[in-house]
Amino acid sequence: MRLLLISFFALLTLNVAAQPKLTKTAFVSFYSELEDVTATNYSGTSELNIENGKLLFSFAIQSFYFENSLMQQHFNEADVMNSKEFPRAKFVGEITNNTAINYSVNGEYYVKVKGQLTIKGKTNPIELKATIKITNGKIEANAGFKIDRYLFGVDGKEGSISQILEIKVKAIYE
Amino acid sequence: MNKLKYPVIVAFCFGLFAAGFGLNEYFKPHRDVKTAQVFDEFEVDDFIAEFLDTPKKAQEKYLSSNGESKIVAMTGTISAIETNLNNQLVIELKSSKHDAVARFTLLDEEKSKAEKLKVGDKTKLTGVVSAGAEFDKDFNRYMDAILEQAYF
Repeated sequence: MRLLLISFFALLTLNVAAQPKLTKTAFVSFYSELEDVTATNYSGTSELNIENGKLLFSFAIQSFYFENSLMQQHFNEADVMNSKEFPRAKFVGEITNNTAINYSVNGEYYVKVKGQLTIKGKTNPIELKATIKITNGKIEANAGFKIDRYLFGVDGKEGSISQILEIKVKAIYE
Repeated sequence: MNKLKYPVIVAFCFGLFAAGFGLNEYFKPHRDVKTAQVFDEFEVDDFIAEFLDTPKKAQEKYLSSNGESKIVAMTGTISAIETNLNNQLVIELKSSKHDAVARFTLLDEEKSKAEKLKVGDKTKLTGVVSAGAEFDKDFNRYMDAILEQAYF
């Protein structure tokens, strides 16, 4: 009976450890050098599975905030993000060197992330470098990378926004 | 010379008006959601169900192509209160029928009104629809409905 109980609790513990870490307050921003414009979004959902490094992000497009209201409106329109038809952007990928991270020890790790980014219904592969910082069980992920908006069908007016956008992402998983 | 005087003045005034209109449009402030019309009011369950049952129809109904989407009011039970990375308060209202929630990011000036609220309390929140609830196969979970610029 005791062995059965121990086995049950051991299985329960393993299952809890295998649960992906979740945050619903992930941050993403993009910067366009052409007009010196930054848009921010603090309402992202992200999951990190520390067992296998699987990493997911989802962001509502209409949660991007611009200082300039006209730019925000233009950003959402059909020829740019078409947020009415494609309300979310998503990243599905993994930390390719996840085994190098010791999630139970405080420290900062430089990691490689590979996956598929879907914006406006178009999916493209991306690879980027990120950092994972562990502080007393809290996991903080940070990344900065660039995307070519034309690859995702984000057209808009010629010269209204940079072709290459600088993206920053931050997520804190408890 | 006098013949040209009036057309030049008219053209100058027209140009000035056009420039003023353009600048006014370019620098116009964001919509004041607290004074804007509330589109509808319901229980959080109804809003979640509408997006899960008829997503395309719900997107068409609540989302605007320029991002100034519908403002809706919802009543529900608080399942979480947290602060996002911009130090804004986020209140989650759970659905009793679905595993999805509606997350409201509060306007800064509404923060103090939430001080006495706790998980389990029933409350009414109004916000701008940013995205509806949907099931995501990669996450293998429901993505929450997102509402921004929320107020009590």
